[in-house]
Amino acid sequence: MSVTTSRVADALTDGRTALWALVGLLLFLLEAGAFLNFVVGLTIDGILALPGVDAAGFLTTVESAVREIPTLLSRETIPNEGYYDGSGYEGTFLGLSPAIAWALRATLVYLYAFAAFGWGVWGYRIYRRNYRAADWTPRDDVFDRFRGHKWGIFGLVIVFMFVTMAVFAPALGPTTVDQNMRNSYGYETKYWDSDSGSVETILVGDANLDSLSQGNDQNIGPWTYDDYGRFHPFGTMQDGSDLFTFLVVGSRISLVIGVLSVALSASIAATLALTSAYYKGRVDLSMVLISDAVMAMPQLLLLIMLTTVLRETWINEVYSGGFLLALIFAFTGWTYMWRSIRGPALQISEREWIDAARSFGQTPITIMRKHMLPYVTGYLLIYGSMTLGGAIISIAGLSYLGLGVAPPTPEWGRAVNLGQDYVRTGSWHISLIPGILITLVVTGFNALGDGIRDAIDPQSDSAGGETAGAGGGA
Amino acid sequence: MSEAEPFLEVRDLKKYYDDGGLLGGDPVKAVDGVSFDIREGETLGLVGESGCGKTTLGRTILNLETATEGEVLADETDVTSISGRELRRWQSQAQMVFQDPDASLNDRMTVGEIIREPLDAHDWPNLAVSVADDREVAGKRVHRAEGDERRDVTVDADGGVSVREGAPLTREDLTVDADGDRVDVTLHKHASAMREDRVRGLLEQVGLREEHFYRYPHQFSGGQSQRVGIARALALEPRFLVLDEPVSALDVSVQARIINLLEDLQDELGLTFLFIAHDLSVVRHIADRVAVMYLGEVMELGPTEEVFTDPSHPYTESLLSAIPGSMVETGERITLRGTPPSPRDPPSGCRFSSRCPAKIRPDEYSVSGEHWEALDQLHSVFRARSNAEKGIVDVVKERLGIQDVSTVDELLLELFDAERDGDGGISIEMPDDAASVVYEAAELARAGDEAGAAERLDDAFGSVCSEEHPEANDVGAGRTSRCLRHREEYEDPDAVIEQRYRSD
Repeated sequence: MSVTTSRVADALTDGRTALWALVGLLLFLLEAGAFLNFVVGLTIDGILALPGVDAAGFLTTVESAVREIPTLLSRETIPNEGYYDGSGYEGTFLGLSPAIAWALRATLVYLYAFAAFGWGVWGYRIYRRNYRAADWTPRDDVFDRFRGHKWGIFGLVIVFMFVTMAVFAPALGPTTVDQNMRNSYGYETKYWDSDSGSVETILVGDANLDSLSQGNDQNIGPWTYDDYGRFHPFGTMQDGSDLFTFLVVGSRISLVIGVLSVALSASIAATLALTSAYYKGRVDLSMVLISDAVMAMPQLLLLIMLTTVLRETWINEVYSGGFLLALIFAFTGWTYMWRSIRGPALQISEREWIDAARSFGQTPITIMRKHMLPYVTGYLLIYGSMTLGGAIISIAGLSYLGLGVAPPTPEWGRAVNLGQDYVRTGSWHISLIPGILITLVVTGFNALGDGIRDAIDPQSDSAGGETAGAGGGA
Repeated sequence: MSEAEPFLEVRDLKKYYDDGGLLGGDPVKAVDGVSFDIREGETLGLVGESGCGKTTLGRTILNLETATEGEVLADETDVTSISGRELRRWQSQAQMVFQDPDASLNDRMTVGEIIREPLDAHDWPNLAVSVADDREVAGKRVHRAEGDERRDVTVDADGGVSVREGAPLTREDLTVDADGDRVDVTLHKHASAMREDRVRGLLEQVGLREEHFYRYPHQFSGGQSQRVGIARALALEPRFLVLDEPVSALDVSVQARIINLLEDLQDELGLTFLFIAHDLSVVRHIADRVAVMYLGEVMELGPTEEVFTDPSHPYTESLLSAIPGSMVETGERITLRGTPPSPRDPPSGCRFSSRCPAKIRPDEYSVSGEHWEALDQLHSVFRARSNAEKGIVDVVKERLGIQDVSTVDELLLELFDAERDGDGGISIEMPDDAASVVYEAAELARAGDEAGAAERLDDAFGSVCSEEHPEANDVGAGRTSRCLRHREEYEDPDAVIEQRYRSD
């Protein structure tokens, strides 16, 4: 215990480490409000979910107090929704035009995210150089190799930007989902009426009806203002709502379903692969049979059937049906990952250190965890990141077909679907932009997987080795 | 040495491997009826060619493989059939050092973690407390010492407490409350601190430095890695180590140092070794007694020096003769012909009969020595072919009676140094009665009946060696040898070898 305490003291007196800690604190303070808000909100939700509790009591007061804490990257600190009053902008940040104010906020969000990432990398390097007891670990080589892998770095950047988009979704959109889509008749907006030369007020829903993008006659394209002085970075949708807000919030559901399903199927796959590789024989054979049986089920039909059957149940209510989707994906997807991991796991299980561990009486579970899992995690990351790309495509594809995530929850595939009638007209942006984004994100995840694979296993040929083939299929 | 108590008694141990195929088939008899004792504190060397089952034997003794039959007795417990707590106790007493240190150390763990793992797995330490009277011992990580267990902590009748030297803690790290009707022992040192100290002590003991604690196996040379492997095997303070070719993967320059380390450790800790090797000179250096294995059986067993200077069994003689530069002691080199037969289908009678330089031969044929060897070889070739898995094409050919005549002919030409006569037939320079048997067998083989060919040869040229399985004969001075020539009616093996190979 005393060793750790003195280490912390040492660290704080060391200039570079102290500076690093200070920068970290600063970065945290900038967003402390949002963080606390999130924690308190989650606690309240948790308490309310308990049976027999219908008020969270003092926590509600805490929540409203927390809301008052200013955060740098919020709509309130850098507002972009204002109106022109004839001489200048009212209500926007520093009186800038809404476009500039929004661009400033979005840029700050990304700067902040990259700064936080850099801070993490900085901390890791300080730890590696000054504090870690081992002066070299096998992981170091993996990190160093990844750093030199340009395609992998590209993937990492894309994936990181996508994740940032999902995390900061409410702050990134020029407007909010509630105000712009769900409850557009519950909000008002002010605008400068040049005919009368005065500031007028209109319901958001009515304003949307005048901002439709439905072809050449009626169109609000990317990076334009509509008639009510509202800025649309990606233009509007066919119903007049803001496409960028729709996409940003949609990224959240894609990411949550993707991560949830991949994490679930990865843990199923890893557990089963390690078990079958350790015990071999009949255990292995029975798992092959089970996975073949699951693989033989047509995924799409199963999806359609289950979503229809479970439509009226509580499970379909969770996260607009996203949770159910994640479960179905995990249930049908683990087989492919299991197949890919079983090979490496079997190889590892033949290594002599497994025998060595058995000879001194190590338990099978610990052997699997300590002596086999570390050699398989690399493969899990590779296949996981590639499968995540696949899951995002599948979710989008399902929404495109009108299945999956229930409207009006924004989802990228639905945007493609909604815009497909206007692809050949001036409103091409409704389908094209989300389409490009899906392609980009999926490419990013695959690139990241490639990079991780080359970093873990430098011998594998990036120009289409066995793993690459398997990964593409996963 | 011979008065020492046997630490381990191996009795008729068998380990067969079934491939689990649907057709059943013959199992691989890796270890087939092995019996010997290992005495407390000695080093028993186990030598033999690759694939003779010596590693399997070591692994079966440690319960890494399930024995098919037989017993391994340690303290009157059969360790091949134990489980649960007894098995864990045995695992902490008997450890293994593996051949290839790179393969047996997990390269994602630091050396410290690797050596510590057995300690964690056994929740080490559990101190043995010896109490003068019959009071109970209570407390965490302590138990009452029983039997001849080594005492870590001793509590006298008057309440005096002493801690064994080399125990993972000192007198200051524990308080003993011996007032009531039981002895309460409280440890103040955390288990993880004790384990870490133990690991550092082990590193020093095997000749590594403390700063190696946080290194990874990649960063070590072969010799250093093997020291890590030894340290891991020693972690639980075992009494018995199976050393599975511990130096054969190392540079020659490093081998001697590891051997010396092992000898030092044996003296220091009173360990018993089973030293498996195929390098005879290493075994001669380290082992007190040596067992020579062939095809799953122990052919000869005896004190090392005597076995090496005066081998009783023809196989031992051939093995020793195969050591380069050893001709001074054994005279003319006797080559071991061919490779050992498949352990799935060992020769009937004596296992070594197919390659034996001192094989008993029937008197009725007057065949030269070289031709006897050729006949043995021809027999084993036919036997191997008749057991070989055949492809569909071969089976069809056999059914239709189309056999590659040339392969049988070539075999005869090569083995007997024969020549083709005018009309394409083959004539062998051998007395007619023997030659006619060979021609008959060749004819059978050409027709695809290799089994019949082998049988024909065996009928004519076989002897007691291919019919009777020799027992382990006591050949004096605590030595046993499994050879039929030790019977009174036959000449001794070395006399025969002397006469057959070294008489000119």
